[in-house]
Amino acid sequence: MDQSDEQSLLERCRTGQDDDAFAALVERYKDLVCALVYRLSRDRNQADDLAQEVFLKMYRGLPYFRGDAKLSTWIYRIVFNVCSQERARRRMVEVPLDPGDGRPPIDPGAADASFGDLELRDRLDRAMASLPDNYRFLIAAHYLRGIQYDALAEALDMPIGTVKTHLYRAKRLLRERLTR
Amino acid sequence: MTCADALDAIEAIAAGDLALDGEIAAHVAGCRSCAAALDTATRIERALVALPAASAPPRFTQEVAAAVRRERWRSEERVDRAFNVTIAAGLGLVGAALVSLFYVGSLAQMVLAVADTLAKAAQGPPAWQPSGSLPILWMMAAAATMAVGVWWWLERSPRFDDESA
Repeated sequence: MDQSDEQSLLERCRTGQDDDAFAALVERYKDLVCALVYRLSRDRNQADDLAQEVFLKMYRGLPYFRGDAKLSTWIYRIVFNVCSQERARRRMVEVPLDPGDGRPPIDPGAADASFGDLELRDRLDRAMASLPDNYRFLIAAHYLRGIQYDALAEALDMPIGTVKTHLYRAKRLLRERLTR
Repeated sequence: MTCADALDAIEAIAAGDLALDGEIAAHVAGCRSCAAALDTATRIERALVALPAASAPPRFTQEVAAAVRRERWRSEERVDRAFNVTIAAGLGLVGAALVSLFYVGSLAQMVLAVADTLAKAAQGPPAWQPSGSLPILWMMAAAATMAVGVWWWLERSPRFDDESA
């Protein structure tokens, strides 16, 4: 589906209640939204509900979407808002990363050849969950299918330089929390 | 180049946004802790790149379409309900206005007569003059008698919903 097809679908959604056009848009973005929401919520069932909420908000907002930004950018913004609101509402689990979780901290000097294994990935997930919302979103989105700095900048309404700086800070926080 | 300067650049180097050369390269080569930090940052970078991307569950599109239909149905239902309430309120207002047009004169007359009677009663004996308010009092007495009669009849008659009747 190219850009003109997308524009045509958007027009069909805006001008009438064209369920087929909206379904085509959902089909196009569902994997991206679900992957992003899953990374942000870490709970499969909740992620499915939140992903559905993202598309419902998109459906409600389509009549007001002027098309100044790319549709994908607008969707990132909706994902960010939905997940932030949900996190604020439910006070999502912020797992402390102290050594009390029974797992030894990463020894930077040790030969840890299995950094990508499930346990360490789980620790990375936990560390990500403890980051502030905007840092979490940046990391989740940037490392998902290479979402570019400019799209993130537009979605979060900040300059590209700030996006890069925030990403570096977020990863530094991750590093510090994983080696603490 | 200090450790603080090097650590500020570690994540950019690990992400490939900044080349490891010059002063930073020299510092990292000679500083064990900065070298370890770069090593960890590089592993984190690789792990983040390797994070799996979840895909949408089966029938996700159909579920979203159903949710949209439900939402639209609820929205139409709200509009219908608001319309019905508005129509009912409008009809009620029109009815009340019509009734008022017919009865406002006599009601006002009754209210004024009662107020006049009370005012005269407050002035002391003679409490009231039968000539002015007598019809009103007769009407009130008749209404009260009728209300008592209806109450008595209802109490005496078997109830429609009384299973024992």
